[in-house]
Amino acid sequence: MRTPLNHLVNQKTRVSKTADLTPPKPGTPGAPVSEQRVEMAGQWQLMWWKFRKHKLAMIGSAVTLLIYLVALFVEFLAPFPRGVYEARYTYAPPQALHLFERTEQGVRFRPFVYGYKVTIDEVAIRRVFEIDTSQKHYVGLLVRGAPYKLIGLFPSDRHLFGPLEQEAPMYLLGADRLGRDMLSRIIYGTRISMSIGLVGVVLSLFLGILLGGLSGYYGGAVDLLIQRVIEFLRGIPTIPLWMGLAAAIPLDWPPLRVYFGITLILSLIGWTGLAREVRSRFLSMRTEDFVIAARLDGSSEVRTIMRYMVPSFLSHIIAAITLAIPQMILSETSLSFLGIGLRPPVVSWGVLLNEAQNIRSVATAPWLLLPGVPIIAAVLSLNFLGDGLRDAADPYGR
Amino acid sequence: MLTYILRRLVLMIPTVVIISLVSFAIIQLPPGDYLTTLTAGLEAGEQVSQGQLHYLTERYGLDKPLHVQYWRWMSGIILRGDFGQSFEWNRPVKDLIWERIGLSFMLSLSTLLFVWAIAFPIGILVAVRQYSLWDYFWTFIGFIGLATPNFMLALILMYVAFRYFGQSVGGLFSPDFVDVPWSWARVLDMLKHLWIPIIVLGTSQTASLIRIMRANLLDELHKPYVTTARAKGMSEISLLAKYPVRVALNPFVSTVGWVLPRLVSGSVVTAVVLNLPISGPLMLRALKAQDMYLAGSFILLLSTLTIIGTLLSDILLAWLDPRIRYT
Amino acid sequence: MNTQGPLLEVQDLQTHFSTDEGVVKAVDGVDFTIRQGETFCLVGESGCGKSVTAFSILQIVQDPGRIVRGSIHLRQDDGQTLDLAAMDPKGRALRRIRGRDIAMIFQEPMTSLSPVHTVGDQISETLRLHAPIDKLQAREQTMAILTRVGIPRPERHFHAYPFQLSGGMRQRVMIAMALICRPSLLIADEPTTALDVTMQAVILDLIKELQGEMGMSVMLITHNLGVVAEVADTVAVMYLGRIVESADVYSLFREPKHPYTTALLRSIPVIGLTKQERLATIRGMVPHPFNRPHGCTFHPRCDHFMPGVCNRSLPPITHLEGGRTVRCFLYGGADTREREER
Repeated sequence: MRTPLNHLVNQKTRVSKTADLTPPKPGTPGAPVSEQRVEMAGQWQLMWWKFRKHKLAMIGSAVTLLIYLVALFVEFLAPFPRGVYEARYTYAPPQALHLFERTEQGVRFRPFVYGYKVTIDEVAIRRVFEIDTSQKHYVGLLVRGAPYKLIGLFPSDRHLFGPLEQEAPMYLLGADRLGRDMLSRIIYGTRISMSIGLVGVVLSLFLGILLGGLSGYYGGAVDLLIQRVIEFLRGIPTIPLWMGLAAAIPLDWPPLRVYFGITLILSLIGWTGLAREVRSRFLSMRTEDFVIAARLDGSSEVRTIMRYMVPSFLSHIIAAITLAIPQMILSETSLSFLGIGLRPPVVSWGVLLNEAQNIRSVATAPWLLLPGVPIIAAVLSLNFLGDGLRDAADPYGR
Repeated sequence: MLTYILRRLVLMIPTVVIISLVSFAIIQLPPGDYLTTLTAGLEAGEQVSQGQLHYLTERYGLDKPLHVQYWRWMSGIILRGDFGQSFEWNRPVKDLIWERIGLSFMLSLSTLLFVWAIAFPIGILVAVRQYSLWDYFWTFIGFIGLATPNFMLALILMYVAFRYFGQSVGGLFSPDFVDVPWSWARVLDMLKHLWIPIIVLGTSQTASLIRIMRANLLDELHKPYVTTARAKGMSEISLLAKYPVRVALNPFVSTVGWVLPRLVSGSVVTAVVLNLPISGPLMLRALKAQDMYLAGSFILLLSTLTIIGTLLSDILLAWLDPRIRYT
Repeated sequence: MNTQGPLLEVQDLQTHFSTDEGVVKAVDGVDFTIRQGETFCLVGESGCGKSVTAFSILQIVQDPGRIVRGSIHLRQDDGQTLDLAAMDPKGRALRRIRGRDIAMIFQEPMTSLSPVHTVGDQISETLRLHAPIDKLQAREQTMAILTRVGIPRPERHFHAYPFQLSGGMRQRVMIAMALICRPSLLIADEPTTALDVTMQAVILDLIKELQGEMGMSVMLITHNLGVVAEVADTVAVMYLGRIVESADVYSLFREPKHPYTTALLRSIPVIGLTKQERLATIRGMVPHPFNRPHGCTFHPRCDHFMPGVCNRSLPPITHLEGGRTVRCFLYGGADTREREER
């Protein structure tokens, strides 16, 4: 990887030149990157250079972006709508997707899945599935399926992929208790699970910046009070508290209201971390020379904060937010898993895992655990992204 | 040192009062209460006597304003150790919760010890061998541990145990020991079951503590006082143990302040999956059934015990760090 | 001053730091000699490599710094000499030298002492590392040295933590720690930089006093020429990893040879300067460590820059009368024809 500093090494004869204050022309091909470029680069430019060096963070941001894209185009990506069930295929195991078909003419690209042969086990009273290689269900790209509106605007009935015959069974990741396609449901869960993190963080951010800012800027009694509240909230175990609050959400609330209720409960604790971050930044910055200088220059309090202080800690806040989102996702998952968070018919990863609550269902259908995979992927990549941002935001760190 | 402990104890009082208020508020939040449900059941012809209903209403002042109810509940706890009545179980709350709370806390504490025992040496190892294979290995494990919800881990462990070892791993006791009084045999039996919940609960905390220890120690390793010690002629190992590790220990110990609440939280969820006879499942059930005194007492006690645990860790920290002790 | 034979001889010492961005040649060929009982001052701007030179002697340079060349010969009490540069930095042999034969005090007494150990613990530790004595004896000797360095009520301060002491007291503690084993060489890396001016003088006097008492040599690293004038016997001036001039303190101040030394001396503030006379500064900046000028590293800032000479090759060490050395083409070593034309 070529870094700005590497370029400096190769430079030999720049020393005696007096400082040239004209800004460098970025992107001039072949132009040597000079010290001036480092000196003239803005804060965000420097952050980007540093962030780019952090490989895990780059991967993390790519995966995060991908997951949010999935969340955006759920209806198009999922082969089936989330509610479609088929009692015949209760707990059908995952099928392998075969990409090439071997025929007399040779091997050619034609994806298909084999059908199931269903027998009933009289003793255990359940269906036993076997892959039936005599049946082939062909799978196509951009097939017609259930109609939907893309991003709530554009009506369509094309799905990225799906069985060519609409009735054919295709369970790439298996089926659940009601014979619903796990893959489609996991894709649908992306939207709720990922957005609850965002919405929750926005709420926490509002509380955190407001209270943390007040605490850090005014200090004294205000600070003491807010700090006590934060300490208190952080000191008590969160899950019992959440459980108490979540259990208080009436069962007859519509799904959307439950969603916001849960988000509100999660951000009730989540804001404390952000408030602490904001406060410590405020405290350390209040005595920085450039802030004092601004105040001595007669700039108003609001202007001092908005023009001088906020820009210098904005990057830290962004990093802190990024690290708060995975916490939210995990919390939602735990609550929904316990059955007191989001409830069906809303589909989130936690709600899906709720199906896997006892060992008996996991033993029959281990693929019920699959929604855990996107959770881990999302939390990991957001953590990497946040770590990278945090390192990049620190101008003195390595 | 003594004044420090006293000051902390005094500061704890308002915290506990607030916790009790919050617990009370939580159990009052749901519309209606258990009595309404009970009355409805009565009208439907269930076996609840009018007299019992009247007695309960009278005893807990359920027809009185909220502050009276709160006062009765609190004074019962403080003066008589009476946490109220579980409506669903029709038994005093205190009969139901103490053993469960005790087991909950025991589990959290043993997990904490486990977490420390693992995270401390490994944290040192990866900091001293920064960018080595060990470092990358534990960083990787650490990230996985951070990103996997506790209950997922529990489910996976259970599935593996069930599938490949053919045994069921839930619970804290073997069937023979579930309902017998405490004895050495019972303790031994419990220890045999304890390791799975400990691993499940401890993994993510171990992961984050390793990262904290590593970061702390990396900070300290390049401090001038380490160079001083080296210039004295100390060997690398004794130098490491005496100076940077000792200094890095302080922030490490202070982490108990947030590790403990998280462990208690985690144990609530994990207990549901692993079917442990601790507070989690019963509390979940009480909350769902609006069994208000039972649920409230759980929240109150778990939070209070956590605050006490945090206090203990702060005292430990003050004992370790002269800078806190003397200021 | 009882100056005898050489105690420490450093020859062609090179300590390099290899980083991802390139190799920093912090010390790039340094030679000097410290005689028994003398005070040797190493002077230079920040970042010129003087601290790294000092750290190299004990091989306690932080990663990724490595001694890549050169020798450091220490003469021991029995008359034998050891090459410290050839020893294993983590080995027992070198550890026995550290703290016993060569001790060191540092710039920042606060961060150079462990915040969570008592003063007494840290001082007596040095003693117990190098002498077979028990705790009680170590304690007694620690008290004695605490008293000697001027710490009042040593029995109380024995149990004090560094953060409970003032800056001057902390530096006294550092001195006590360094001297408790009666080393033959004390390396003091900017010992007074973090102190206020009065305390600086007190600490320097203390070092000087103890030096006379114990008969040790002192290697003092500083950027403060005032300090040099006050305490030094011999001075070496360092610029960008090399010693550009060395001489006894009188000759150096009276008649500096190297243009860099001249410039440095001119930049000392003098009382009585009128408004019109501005204080001289050295023009330009210290070049970036990755970006060493070719040839004599000082040439871009030098008033006597000779194009085609100074920027072509490194000037060799020239020995002048009175044991002085200088590294400059003005005193020979260049293609003389070119020089004479000028």
